[in-house]
Amino acid sequence: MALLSIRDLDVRYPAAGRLVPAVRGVNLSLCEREILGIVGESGSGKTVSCLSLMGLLGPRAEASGTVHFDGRDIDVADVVHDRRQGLLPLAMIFQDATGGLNPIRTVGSQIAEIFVHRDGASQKAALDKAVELLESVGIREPRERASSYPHQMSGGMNQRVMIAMALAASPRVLIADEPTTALDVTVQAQICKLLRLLVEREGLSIIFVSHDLDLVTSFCDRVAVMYRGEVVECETSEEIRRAPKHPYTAALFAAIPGHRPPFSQLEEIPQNLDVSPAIPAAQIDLPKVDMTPRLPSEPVERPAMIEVSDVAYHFAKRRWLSRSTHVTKAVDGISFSVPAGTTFGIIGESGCGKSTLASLLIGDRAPQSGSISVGGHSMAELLANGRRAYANRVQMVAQDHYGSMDRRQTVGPQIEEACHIHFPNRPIARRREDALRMLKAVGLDETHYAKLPHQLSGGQRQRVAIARALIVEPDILICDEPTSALDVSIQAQVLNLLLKLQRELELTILLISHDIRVVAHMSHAIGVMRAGVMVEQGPAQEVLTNPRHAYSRSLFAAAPTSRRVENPMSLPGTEPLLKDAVP
Amino acid sequence: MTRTVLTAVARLVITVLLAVTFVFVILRVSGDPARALLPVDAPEDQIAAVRAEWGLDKPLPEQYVTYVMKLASGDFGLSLNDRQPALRVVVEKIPSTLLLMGTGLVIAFTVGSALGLLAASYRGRAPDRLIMSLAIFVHSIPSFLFGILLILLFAVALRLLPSGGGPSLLHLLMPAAVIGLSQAGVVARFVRSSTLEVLAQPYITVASLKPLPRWYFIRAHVLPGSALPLLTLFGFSLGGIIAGAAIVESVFAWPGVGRFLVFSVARRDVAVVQTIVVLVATMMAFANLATDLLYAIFDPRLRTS
Repeated sequence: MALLSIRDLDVRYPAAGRLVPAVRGVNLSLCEREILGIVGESGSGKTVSCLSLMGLLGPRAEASGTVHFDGRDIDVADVVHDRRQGLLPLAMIFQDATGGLNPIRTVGSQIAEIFVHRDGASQKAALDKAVELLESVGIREPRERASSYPHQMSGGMNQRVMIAMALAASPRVLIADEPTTALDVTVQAQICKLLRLLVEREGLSIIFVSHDLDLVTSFCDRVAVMYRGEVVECETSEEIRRAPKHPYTAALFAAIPGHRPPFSQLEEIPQNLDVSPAIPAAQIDLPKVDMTPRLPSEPVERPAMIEVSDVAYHFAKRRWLSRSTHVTKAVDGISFSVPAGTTFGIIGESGCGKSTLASLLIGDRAPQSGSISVGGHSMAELLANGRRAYANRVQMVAQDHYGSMDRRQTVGPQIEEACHIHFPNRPIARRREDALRMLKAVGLDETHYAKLPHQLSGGQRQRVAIARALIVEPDILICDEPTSALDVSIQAQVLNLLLKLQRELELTILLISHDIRVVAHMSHAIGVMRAGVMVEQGPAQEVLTNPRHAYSRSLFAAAPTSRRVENPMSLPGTEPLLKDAVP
Repeated sequence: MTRTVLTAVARLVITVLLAVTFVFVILRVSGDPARALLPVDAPEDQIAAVRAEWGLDKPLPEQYVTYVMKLASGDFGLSLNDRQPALRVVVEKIPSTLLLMGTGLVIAFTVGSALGLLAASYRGRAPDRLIMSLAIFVHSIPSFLFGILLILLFAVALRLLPSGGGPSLLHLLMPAAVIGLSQAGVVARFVRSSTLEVLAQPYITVASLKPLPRWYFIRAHVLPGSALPLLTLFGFSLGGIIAGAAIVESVFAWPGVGRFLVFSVARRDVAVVQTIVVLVATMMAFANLATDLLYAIFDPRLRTS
């Protein structure tokens, strides 16, 4: 018997003089002690469905439908604008845990205030209860931590505090909206383990919203897949993994790197996929995808394009009037070499120094020791003739596709500008021709030439960024988290594009990512970074299947993968539950 | 925390020293002080005598050091007016100016904050637009005009308040209102935007989900965040108020430092003018020191690192 069920939920927002549906006819049910996953890409309505239960849709939203909770029938219209949750014992946690806590109040007081104002508890009794709750969500030294401020804690710890705060409201159902998306994979595994523990111990039921199909199908009991405001499939995790019924689910799986052999083409989900229930799933045509690997996964002997030997970069921070100097070894003695035309993938969690390494490689900072050489020439030698000579060979694609563009200039001229800087003698007509040719190469056309960055989608912007980097005909492309801000289906397009370009242009790619699946799919060789050091590197297959370093092993174990997890409680949580972020 | 205090104090000392140096340089480049002191047709030997008496014949660096040392020991020279020590004459007038400025500040921050909060809670609707137009309006009327208009209304037409003089509570009302209301406009704009910024923060959404009474939610989660930027404004607006005090005090004949400054400039009373400049600079520096320290107290993110 379901504890909570939602029937025929419709949510509409007024826009341009009419009501635009955000969620259409959604039916969901949640059993007691169950974790229900809701998965979908941005705009699929997964978050809106949850917010409507919490009264957080905003005053302009219109909603209809019924909620059936524990034997009572409640009209959605009654809860949709009621934040106080007079009707439903629900609590919610969010993606940005640190932002969700008041920065100028201690975490303990933010939990304790609930007991003071709801139960009339004394300040001291309330704080004691808060400390108890902090302990129950796995925060060590809870009494000391209760008097800490959010900025003094890690993201994972703040998420635990958020969970404790949610529990303070004694909810029956916890709604978790992308609670681990901003966290490192090892911390993500710990938070998931904590949520599972709360189900077992407190009898909580959880709705877990995520964009990551691998994560929800390994962690949740049942999974609802949402697409364009509708639930297209709702099944047990095992069933969805084994045999997804709806073509969108199947396509979503096929878009995730890791479900196809490395270097093979990923599924690109068409933007106009018609999934209306009237059409039987079998009749929906998805383009057939060529599954053959596009590059030899066995690296052939090729000359090294990048050689990095013993490079170090330390940030020394010396405080005024202080004798001690605090040194952060962002990059500490890293060596590797990348054969021409291959991809070297670098995996690491936040703060491991991978972005500092990228800035060293594009010549943004000079290494304090060690040397970098490109195509047999040392970086110093190339930089001696000005940055241009170096930039001619090494280009970069950044994670922030919007921030890396001029918002007031159309994208065509931005591509031409790079061409003009590097080939000043090229006639203007030829420049335009080159820019158009490059746009075609990245799968765009002349209609995109005169668009402003905000008129393009995220995936299109990232294509433009790639075009802009490649127009100067570099040998090396450094991609720093190139797809981390994109939806899975768009990620698939960009990764496919990179594979195609590498094949056609003999590009050497340095791919930096926190996502092991992306790196595994794209790389010939892999390096694992931690605290400025490359703890392990080698051919991709070898590192992935047989990691030698303990850190690589725990990192790979914590990451959601295509592997099937038999018992969710055995979800690889690496170290014990109470251990927070890896130092 | 100790380091924050030390840095702030060091900044204070540097600011005051810069102000003192500025006064010194201005006095030296604006002509020979000895000539300025004497009648235009004074004989050369008399000028030389005055120079020797005041130490103006010594090399500039030496003069500078003597000057700074004297200021440090509290010797600001003699006022032209009955040869009283300049410092004493000025200090006598400080309380009435502080009273006026303090009342003005209280009016500015209470009225301004209230209007700003009101505007923020009616964002985009009629009360918001009205308050914001009013804020720009009061801030853009020159204070002397505002003052004269008030005198015409309350002193001349209605005969409710004295047009000038003081210091007394009745005399205080109009000048304090002029100072307070023109600053209240700025405060209101500031409070409105910082409140809207706070209301958009995710932690407000989270807090609004807790079973908390509305008054507590506003007092504990909304107000502290939206009041923090007011500290910066406090430092700024103090400067504006001090500058404005010279005009407002003159308009309302309020017996304070500002009016005395205008009077002394007209009489070329160098000792008094430099005393006021140095004191005002010191006060400003202290106000900013206080701002920095208050930030460190109220914002935990600045306290630890």
